[in-house]
Amino acid sequence: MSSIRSTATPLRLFGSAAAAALLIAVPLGTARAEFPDKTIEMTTLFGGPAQTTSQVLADLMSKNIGQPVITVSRPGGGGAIGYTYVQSAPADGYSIVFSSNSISTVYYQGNLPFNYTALAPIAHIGMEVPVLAVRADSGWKDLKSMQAAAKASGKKLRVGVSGLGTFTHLASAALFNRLGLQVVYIPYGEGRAPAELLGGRVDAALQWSSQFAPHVKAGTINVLCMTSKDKVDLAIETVTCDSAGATGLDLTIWRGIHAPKDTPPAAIARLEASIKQAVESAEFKKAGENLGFTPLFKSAKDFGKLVADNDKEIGELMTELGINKKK
Amino acid sequence: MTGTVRTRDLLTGSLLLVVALVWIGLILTTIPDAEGMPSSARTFPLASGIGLAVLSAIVVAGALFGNTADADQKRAGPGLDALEWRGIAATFGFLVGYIALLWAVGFILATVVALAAYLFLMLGKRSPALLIGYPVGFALAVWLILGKLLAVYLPRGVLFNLF
Amino acid sequence: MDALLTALAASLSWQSVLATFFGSLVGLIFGAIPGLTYSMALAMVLPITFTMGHTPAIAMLLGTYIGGMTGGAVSAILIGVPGTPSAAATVLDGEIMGKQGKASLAIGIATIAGCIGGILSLIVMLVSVDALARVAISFGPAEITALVVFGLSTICGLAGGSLVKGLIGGVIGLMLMNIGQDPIDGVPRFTFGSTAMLQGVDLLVAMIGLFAVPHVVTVFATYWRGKEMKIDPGHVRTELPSWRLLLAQRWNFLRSAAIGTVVGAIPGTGGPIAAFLAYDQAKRWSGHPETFGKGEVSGVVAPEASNHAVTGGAMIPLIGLGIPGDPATAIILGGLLIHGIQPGPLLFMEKPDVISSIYLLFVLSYIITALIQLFGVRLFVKALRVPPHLLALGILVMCVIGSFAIRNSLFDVGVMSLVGFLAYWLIKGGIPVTPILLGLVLGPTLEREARTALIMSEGSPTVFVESYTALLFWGLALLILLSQVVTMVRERNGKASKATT
Repeated sequence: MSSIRSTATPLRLFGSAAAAALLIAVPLGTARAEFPDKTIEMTTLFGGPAQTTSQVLADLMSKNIGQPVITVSRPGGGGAIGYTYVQSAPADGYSIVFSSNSISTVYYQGNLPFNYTALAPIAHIGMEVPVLAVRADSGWKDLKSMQAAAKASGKKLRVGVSGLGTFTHLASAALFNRLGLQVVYIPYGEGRAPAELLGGRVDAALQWSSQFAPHVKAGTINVLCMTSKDKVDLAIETVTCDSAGATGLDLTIWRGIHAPKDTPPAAIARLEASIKQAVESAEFKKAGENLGFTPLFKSAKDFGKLVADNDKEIGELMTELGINKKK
Repeated sequence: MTGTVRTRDLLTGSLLLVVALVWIGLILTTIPDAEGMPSSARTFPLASGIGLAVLSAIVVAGALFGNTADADQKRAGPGLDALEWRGIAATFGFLVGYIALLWAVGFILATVVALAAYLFLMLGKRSPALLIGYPVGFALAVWLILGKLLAVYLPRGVLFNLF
Repeated sequence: MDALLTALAASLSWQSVLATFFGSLVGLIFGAIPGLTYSMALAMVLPITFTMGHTPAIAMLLGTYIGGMTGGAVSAILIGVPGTPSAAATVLDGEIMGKQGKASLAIGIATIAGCIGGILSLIVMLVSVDALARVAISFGPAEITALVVFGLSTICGLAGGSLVKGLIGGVIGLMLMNIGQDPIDGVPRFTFGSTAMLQGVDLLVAMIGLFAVPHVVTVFATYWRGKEMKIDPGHVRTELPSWRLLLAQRWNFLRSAAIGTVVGAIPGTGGPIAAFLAYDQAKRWSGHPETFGKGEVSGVVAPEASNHAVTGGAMIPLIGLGIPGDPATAIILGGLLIHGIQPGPLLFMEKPDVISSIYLLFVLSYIITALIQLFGVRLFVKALRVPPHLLALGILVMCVIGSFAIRNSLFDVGVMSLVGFLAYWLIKGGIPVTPILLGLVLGPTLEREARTALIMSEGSPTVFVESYTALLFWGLALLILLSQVVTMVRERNGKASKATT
């Protein structure tokens, strides 16, 4: 819904004179011919916390790469619009995209004519780990007690997800299949999980932990587990679903940066270095903590492998669920 | 579409009826139905299409059989004369040309050229001050205030950019 | 008490006042340009707040949000194109007032109505944040479906001459929004295999085409006919509303603000529906409904008081529960989170000073926005001194920029042009424009919520009538429809009896 440029415009002077001075000073010392010598455009695909994260990243990259990095939002089609734009943009390193597993989900939904191989990986910047939440008055303290209660009642469990075919839907399906529970998936929009839970309209919801944090502290919502195999630091202390009964479950959303396929290696290396510096900074770590996001830098090579493995996994999951249009 | 309310309604109603039927046809041929689901991607477009078909049929029927005596005398607003057609053609011609220019050469150049051309060709302006001042002033003001100061993203050309 | 004093000191520091001023100004500019909205302005100022202290950061975000809501009325009144969808109902009477040479009066009253509406909503928030947050939670898909249908029922009052044609307008609006990706399953609809078409018709893009293009065509045709009005500088005078005028609107203020606050508190609804409901109610309660749509002051007060009250209403689930109801409050939430402020029930206990600051800055934002706007009226109405055909050309360029900026897509500019073309022919064919807009605004919500409700109930339609809240809105919608039919039948009989005598 929006277009934003977090750049060295006169506005920024207002916010922080120090940052602005840095932005003005750095380009003077950079040789013209070297990459980058003009503004870099980072396409973002969604609103909400992901957009805020991309803005923080662009802001930090601007400070170390010597040119403004701006975020330009190109939403729609579950990400298809933005991916298509970047895929067809000139491969010169000035067009990059703030990517995620959505590239795999939209592809297998049949809404994207190409898959992840049409883009070049630059760097992994972090991951988001969804958690399973239930109402506190349900009395379910862990995955096992929920499983037992749901089986005893004989009724289908109502589970809220962001949308059918989205990542939270896939992760929920993988989780509840492992538990052997009958489930109805309710697609509400982003950010409504706590309201739907507290209102008693869904029995459980799989969402990012930061949404539930205030309610967990207030004692109205219990978080049962996180969907990653290894425990990560989240806004809420909880165990992994793998250890709590859903053995083998390991699904997290990756976020990273991609560029068009034939982007020169020199440009990719420069961007990779800039992202590394930004992601490993204290500011980014702080922002991640506040936004419920786990920063983790991975190089272009490791990131490419991760994307490929994850894509295969998502494809298989969607085939299992009968929503894979590609195979 | 000039003339009485009756002829206008007849025309509007039957055109919309055709649109509704084409719409319903498209849904049945291109949108898959979900078996066993209470509602699918089809449900809402189909309901709207049927709604439009029924409502436009009512308008047609009203125009054919309505006994409102004054419908034949009452004129349906200002008619469509040559100048009105020119207004439509000029506005859409401008939009199409401007979009093409924006795509090719980006905001500043496209705006200056499109505005100057429209002022000269369509509005018959001949004063050089207006022909240069308005397009250049307008484009620069928007570029400076929106593009630079408020950081709104303005279209960039695929061929070349002036800034 | 200590918390309040600390908050007061922090909120009235020069940094906060300056940040609010800056935010309001940016918001006003974005709000006044069709296509640029407060969500966009918020996303733009957000990175600036990263490096600020938390009080000025909140000040800037609230200022931008509130300024953006207020700016929408300016273009609605001056050029008949709403700056934001929330200001669409303001066009109905505001544009006419502008044409009658009362543009400054209309903008003045819209500003004051907005300020009063916003502050009334804050008072409601202060008194009953807990209770209203609970009400907000009780609205599930079925209840929202009923509320949206109630909103659609206002088409009856807006249809003008023919109810059937009003309904046709509404249905066309619903159909336009069906193009693109289906909101539940992601199935492409009417895209003919094109990826660009997946993004579908954006509400703002369609709104700009709907209002601006027919207006521009008419201005050019009038110019070539040689009938363009000569501009009389004295005609465009600056006149602000009197106390008497404002006092006469007191019930309208209260009623509209109440509607706005409640609608605003329900996640997933928002400004446009509140504005249209308030307009419809103002007309119904007025002793002279026939003056509405002809430059009636109450017709500007109601939507503006109501859509500004939405800002306070939307803060209720945001502050009380940490739940954003729309894209704009989602960005504000992002801004709060990044400063380590986690809205929710605990915030009231752990950081009462932050809560007090939010309340104080909310009021400050309203006061500053109103001052800028009232000061700016003189400047705004100068736009009316530009010859209409030159102004129209400028409007056209701004509409192109506005529709592009929404999603940075030239495809959207094309859609805007096509919708404008369609709207022109529909107007010529006697189909009113406002119901089309209502269909556009409410269509996607209606489909998403109704289908979600059916998924929840596993297909049983009784889900829609299971709660008292839903029943209440169904009843209200039915009442409005029936009263419209009765009025029409009475009018027809009246005419018939006149014809026979």
